[in-house]
Amino acid sequence: MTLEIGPVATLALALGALTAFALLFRFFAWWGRAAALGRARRIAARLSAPPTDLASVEDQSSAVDELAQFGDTDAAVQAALELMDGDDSAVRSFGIEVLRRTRAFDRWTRDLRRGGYRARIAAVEALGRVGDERAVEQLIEVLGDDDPHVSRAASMALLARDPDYAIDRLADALSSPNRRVAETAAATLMGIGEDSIEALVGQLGSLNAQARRLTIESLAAINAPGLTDLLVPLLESEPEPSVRTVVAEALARSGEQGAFAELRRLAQLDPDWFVRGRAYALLAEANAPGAAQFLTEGLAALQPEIIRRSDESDAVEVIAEGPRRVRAAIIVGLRQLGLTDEEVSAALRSAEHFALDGSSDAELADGWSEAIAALNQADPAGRANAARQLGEAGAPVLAELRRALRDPDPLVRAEAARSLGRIGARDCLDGLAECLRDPDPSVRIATSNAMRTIISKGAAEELK
Amino acid sequence: MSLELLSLIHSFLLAGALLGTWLIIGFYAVLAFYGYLYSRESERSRRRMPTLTDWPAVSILVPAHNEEIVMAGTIEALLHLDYPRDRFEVVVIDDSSTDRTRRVVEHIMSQDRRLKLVAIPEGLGGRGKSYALNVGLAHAAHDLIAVFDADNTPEPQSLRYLVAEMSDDPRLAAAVGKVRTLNAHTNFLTRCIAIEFMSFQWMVQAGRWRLFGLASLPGTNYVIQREALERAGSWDPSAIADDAELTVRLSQEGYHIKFVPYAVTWEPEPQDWGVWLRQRLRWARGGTYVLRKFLPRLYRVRRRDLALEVLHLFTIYHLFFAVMMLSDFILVSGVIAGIAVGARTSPLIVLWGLAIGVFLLEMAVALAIEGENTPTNLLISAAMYFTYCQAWIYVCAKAHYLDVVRQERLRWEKTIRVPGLVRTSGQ
Repeated sequence: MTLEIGPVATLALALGALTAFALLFRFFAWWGRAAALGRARRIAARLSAPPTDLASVEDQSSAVDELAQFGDTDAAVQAALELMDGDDSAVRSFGIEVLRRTRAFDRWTRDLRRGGYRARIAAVEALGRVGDERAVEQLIEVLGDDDPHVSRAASMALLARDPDYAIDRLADALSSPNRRVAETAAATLMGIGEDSIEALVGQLGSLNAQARRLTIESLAAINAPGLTDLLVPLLESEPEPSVRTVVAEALARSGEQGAFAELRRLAQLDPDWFVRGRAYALLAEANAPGAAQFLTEGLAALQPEIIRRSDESDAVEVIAEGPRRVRAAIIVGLRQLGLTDEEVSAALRSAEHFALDGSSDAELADGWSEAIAALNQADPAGRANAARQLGEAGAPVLAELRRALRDPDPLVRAEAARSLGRIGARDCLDGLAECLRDPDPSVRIATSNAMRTIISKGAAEELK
Repeated sequence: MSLELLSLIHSFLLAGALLGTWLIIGFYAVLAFYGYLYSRESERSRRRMPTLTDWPAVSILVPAHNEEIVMAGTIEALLHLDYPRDRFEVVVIDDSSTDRTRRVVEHIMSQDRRLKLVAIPEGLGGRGKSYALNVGLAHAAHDLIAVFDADNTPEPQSLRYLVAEMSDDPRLAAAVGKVRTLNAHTNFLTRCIAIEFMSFQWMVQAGRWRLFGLASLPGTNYVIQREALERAGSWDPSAIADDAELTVRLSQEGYHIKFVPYAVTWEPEPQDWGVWLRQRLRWARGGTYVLRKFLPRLYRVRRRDLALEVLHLFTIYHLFFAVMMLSDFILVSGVIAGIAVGARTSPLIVLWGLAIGVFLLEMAVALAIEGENTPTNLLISAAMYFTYCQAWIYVCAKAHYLDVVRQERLRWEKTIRVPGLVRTSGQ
């Protein structure tokens, strides 16, 4: 009897044979690894207790040699890592010696830099088990890993062996030049909570502004007791605006009366415009007592400064630094306090009215007396320069600029027209309109640009 | 006219259409192959990304006109970019918005000093993205300029990758990232747009970069050197396709633009055919504007990059349009007139079918590179030739009608935003 096998069955048989061969191969590979690990563990067992006499010293020294030269490096590393799980320092030192001689640290470093996700996680876990100074340093670097899972694993691995040592190193890492390392360290310290307060307080005096900022953020997140008393004196001496900002935020979060008084002081006196605006906004966010009145008064106090600094060459309004930024923050704050758009607009109008018609005009004009005097000098270039400077003075010098529109030199007339445009002086539109018929084309062009700017500025304000 | 003559004319027309189709398909097949090669290379270079310790300062420009729906999400994403906090600023250019855009920006400004607002008042604004970008550029503090649209959600590493590429190669004027579709699964149209974007980026951007060292500026997610920008003359306010126009001028100045596929931003695309049509009409007319501006100067230009860029625009908005029209005409006329596809035309029909097969294969390659080669996407790709691509004919036809017949002035038209679309970290 002959057995006939068709082509499909032949193919199926071949595939089956191949699969069986692959499975067998995998089994033998697994069995080989398990056997090697078993042998390595038996050698490592000789290292699992501290040496007691000379013979055991010699035996353990030879065991370290055997593991370091073991045929299967992975198995030797695994056995050495198991030695690291104990607390006995002598046993751990055997493990570290084996890891050093098998170049395991170099391999983990390589994996952490260039390896895939699994390799990086494995390296992090191994370093966490080692937990010595070198491993902690490497783990701190891994806090900056692109993958948040890896950096989180690193922060957990750091705390696995010696949390106190790791907390100190994490606190040091707040001043790392790698921002992500510093921020992950801060997040880890926040997660640890009260146990990290002592290490964090030590960082308040750091020379590194980033470390101080992250320290304050961490302490505020932990809600460290007595934080306000700790922070208020810092404000006096803190040179970095970004740190003063986080101090202000921490103070606002505390909700204490003393903190609000400090925020008011910051809002009025801080040399940095952003910090001032932030302090106003924080007072509103915290709904501090008397915030609405304080913010409205702040608005009125700012307006003369805004007018004095009004130096845009066209109608585009730029809110970057300076009093405009504070004004924007106050407006945001007023809205947060529940003021309607009409009420905010009324507060703005009142502030502008105060600035334009109040007694401060004379003071402001006084500040520009040199430039006003320079308008009368004989040199046309000097007069033109003065006219240009007066464009920064705002409303108090309108009369002088209007007079300069009739200067015999076209250069001066053109500069005066540009300055009026910068100020946005609607009252001068009639005077400017006359210059549209100026015999000099540069004056005509400057005038038409200035008029367009004034008109669009006015339209924008009306819309507001 | 005898049936024989009709059949002959039909065959000639079909042959012409096929020649054009195969020219485009063949060129894009080569680009798809090089796009694939580049995808492998770029993944390796991402892993080797240098860890710069001293990152250059960047000004991020975000032009905004009535963007209150999307503004907060975009600013939040930008402020949370994985880039040294003190090394970048975000400049929002409020282009005469009549909604609450300014209020949204001011609110976030009170919390973060890196945010600046440049407000163009009513009367001066509404002149288009290029004008707004030029105004923003005047108030940007740094020498590297990044541009993001107001509805974008860039991935945290996007800016870092783009800047690192720029620092790596001083010949580069700009590094451009990849745009992914945020609302890809909303409906058939958004699925088509998502596939179109993936194909475009892996063929036209990656393929051309690998093959010719050339890529085009997209409208968003790119970093450009201020010096190159100013030397090229900044953005052209008359151009409604600001990106294409500036690409050509940068090429003309001898600058290179690199495609960086792992710098990703997510963008919601039109969900409605009307909005899509207006957006694509702007692109098509903008492309034609660039062609009209630069084609007459082409014979004087010795730069290959410039010629390639202009050729690319010509292919997309003119050659593709003509070929599609011709193919459709042949097929429809063939069916209507009842002309039997005899022995003369049948091989041509086979070639036509084969061209569509290659077209699908190219898209499948792009989808596979992106890891989006799902059965649904492959089916949609197959349907796209007969639906989405045909809609392009209408876009191109209307664009040419408005440009040539009506000679209508180019006017910036803002794309209507999709509310409620914000990418979260888990997406």
